[in-house]
Amino acid sequence: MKQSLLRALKAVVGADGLTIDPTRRKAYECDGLAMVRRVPDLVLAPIDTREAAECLRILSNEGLPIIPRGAGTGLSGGATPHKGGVVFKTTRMRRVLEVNELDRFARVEAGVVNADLSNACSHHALSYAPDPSSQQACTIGGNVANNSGGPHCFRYGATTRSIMGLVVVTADGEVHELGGPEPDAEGYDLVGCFVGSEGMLGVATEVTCKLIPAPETSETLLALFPSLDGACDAVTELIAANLEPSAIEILDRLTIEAVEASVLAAGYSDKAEAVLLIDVDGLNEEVRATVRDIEAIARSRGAFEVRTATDAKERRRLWAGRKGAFGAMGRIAPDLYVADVVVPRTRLKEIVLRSTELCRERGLKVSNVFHAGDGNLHPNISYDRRDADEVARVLDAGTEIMKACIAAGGSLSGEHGIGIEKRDEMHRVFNEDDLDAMLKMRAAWDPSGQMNPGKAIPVRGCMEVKTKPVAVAANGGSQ
Amino acid sequence: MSKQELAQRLGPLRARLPGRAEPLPLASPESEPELAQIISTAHDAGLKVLAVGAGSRLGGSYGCRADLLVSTRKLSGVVAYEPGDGTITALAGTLMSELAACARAGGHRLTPDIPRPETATLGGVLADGLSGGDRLRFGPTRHHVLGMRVLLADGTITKTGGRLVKNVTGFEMHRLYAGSAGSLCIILEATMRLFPAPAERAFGKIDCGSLEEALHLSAALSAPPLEPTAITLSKLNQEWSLSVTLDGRSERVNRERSIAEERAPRAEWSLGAEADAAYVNTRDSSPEEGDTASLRVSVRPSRLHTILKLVLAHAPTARLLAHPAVGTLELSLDAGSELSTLVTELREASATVRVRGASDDAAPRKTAALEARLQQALDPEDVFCGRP
Repeated sequence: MKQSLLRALKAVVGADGLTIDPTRRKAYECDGLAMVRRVPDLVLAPIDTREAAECLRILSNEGLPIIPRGAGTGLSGGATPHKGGVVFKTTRMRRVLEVNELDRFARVEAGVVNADLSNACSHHALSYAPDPSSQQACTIGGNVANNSGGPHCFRYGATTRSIMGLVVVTADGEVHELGGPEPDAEGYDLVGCFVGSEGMLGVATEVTCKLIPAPETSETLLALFPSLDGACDAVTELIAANLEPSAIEILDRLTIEAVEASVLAAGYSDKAEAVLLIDVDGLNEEVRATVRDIEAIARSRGAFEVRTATDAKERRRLWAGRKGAFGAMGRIAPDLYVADVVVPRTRLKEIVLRSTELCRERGLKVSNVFHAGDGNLHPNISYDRRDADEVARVLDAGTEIMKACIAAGGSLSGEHGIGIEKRDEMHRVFNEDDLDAMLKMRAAWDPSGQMNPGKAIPVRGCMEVKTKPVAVAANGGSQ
Repeated sequence: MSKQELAQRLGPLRARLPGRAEPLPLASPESEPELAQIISTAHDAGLKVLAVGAGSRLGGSYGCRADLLVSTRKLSGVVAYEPGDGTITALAGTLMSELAACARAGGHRLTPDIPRPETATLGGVLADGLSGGDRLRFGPTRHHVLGMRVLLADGTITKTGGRLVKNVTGFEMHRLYAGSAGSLCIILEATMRLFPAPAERAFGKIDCGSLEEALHLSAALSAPPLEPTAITLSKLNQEWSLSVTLDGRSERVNRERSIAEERAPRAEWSLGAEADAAYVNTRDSSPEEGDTASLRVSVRPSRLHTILKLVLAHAPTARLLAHPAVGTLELSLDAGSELSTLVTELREASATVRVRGASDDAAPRKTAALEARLQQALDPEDVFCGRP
């Protein structure tokens, strides 16, 4: 990295916003997809939109790859550094700029942590709906880049449904104000276009988020099943019955054991093969009626125990167990591959079974914890990254699970994004023309191709000469 | 709808296209290959194409210089309705009323519930970015488009998204296409998320003595724990009328109605079939695109009072219908209204405005350069001349 460039950037962000030291840079060598690592040449952390714009203007003259990054909790390698690239992290932009109780929105900087936003508006009896399991760490900007989900997006939708406006800085340093607190923008829906673009169009520095009022009542219902099949059948039936809970989650036996053995022990059960965890929000009478109907369906599908949380403390404990399930898997093996696939809700049971078979055939330990109501599966494969053969089997199983989902009418990702993990699988869902249209759209935002190159769209032919592929190494070593 | 009927419907709209004394040629292809061939031919011949559905609205495209109108109305039909998944996929020319009826028969509700759904196609509604009054509860239409197949200006057909209720595979091009008014592509097919059909409905109507009273009641009726499906404000002559629609499972509707009765004691309620009819009647009273200019205005709900005062000052006799808890307003202006002054003042008051039936001669918006690059990227020959 040229000293003159470093001096120019330091003049903008100061010493605190620039990470040059190799040891400190190593902390940014990967995101949640730990099997692919590369130490970035530089880490930049602007403190606001103005600094972000100035930095990008300087970097645009150098043609360096820019890798936007929030908290680095993404699981698909969306923030994996690119050779010779600059990690552009937003975590110093962490001010809640406005909470507007009257019109129910909040303006925040991109580095605000998801849970902090809901905490900031809770005293107005408002909340921000998207609640990824990593919400205690992940940032709103990262959620925007990945169109993140979470258990409660069954009712409230993924991140895109909660984003009203953005301030985006593109690779040339230009600042774009997109949308805002008004219900509709003039012109194209640029906010909708940007959300989920995995850092390939620009960097979001400010976000206007829709807030929702707290429901009169929330009930958390726990149903314990002697089989995973029974839990899946219950979900299919309650959706067919047009019931409208706000979250429908399933945890299988191995997940339950891991959670119960951890500090997040939720008191699920030591007998259940599957736990169905459901939240119901709404008016008192409506919630009571819906819980009653769900309970009847669960019992008809074999649940041997159905109960509701007795108080807020128990609700929190039940959900902490669910949201901490990925962390609890650390007891099983040093590393965890969190697959993220989605299928039509009617094919849920079949694909859960198939993905379990695919892992067992490869001698892998798999556990399932998933957003059953949305058909969004997370087969979690425990492994040890130091075992190259096991890593290869994990990746192979991941690919076969994807294929099975696509064959069932599903798709590659329900909420984690494509990143580098699934980039080369995109052709299984989209043809050349589909991908070309996406690249044309991207080129309109970022003609230089500097923003997060090599992610999400497979490298094909000469259109992407500026976006060299990032090779995925099976040995987990630096590349 | 026959080609003649379609031509008749399009007639008055075509007359508004500038520089055209004669009606424009109208193509109404019966298959996607035929449509693709027409677009390829237009592309090669340098012709400008304006895509329409059933012709009930032209959105912001009145000012465009089209050489050819192309209707997708005959590309019609439900491709897949999956009750277990809560999704419906249909060709662009499918009437919204047909789509809603199909969903309803399977126990689902289609959103948007737009005015006069028997006159509008799925493709047209999506291209126009039109939402219904039910967005108060369900959000805008663009949130519920799960995927699309579209025809690009060079004749290629591409897809985006899918038929799944949750999916983040690839860029959300369908969000860009929704509301792009046929300026980037022609929508061929779309998949929509569905919601459970309501078991019961209650419809309350309140005649209000003033705009201020109506807005006060609207705020009360949309405050927690109420979650109405729609709140509609209309003005007939000098009378303001507010209506509230509550629906869902019976336990919910009964409780909501008792709360609403406390907050709006003068409301007159109808239930069951009577409520359905009253709801539809109110929904369909939204101003149509016609011979005079109309505006679609959007503003933070707390600023709607200011916006309505501006409208009343400049266009006291305009027909208007608002969704005050959402912050949207549709109004149809009388001939001779001071359009440009009103639009300028509305924008200065932080409203967003879409002008229909007249030219919008405002200064380019802040995102104009980026939008132009997007249009250039996807339609470099500028074949599609629709404008949002």
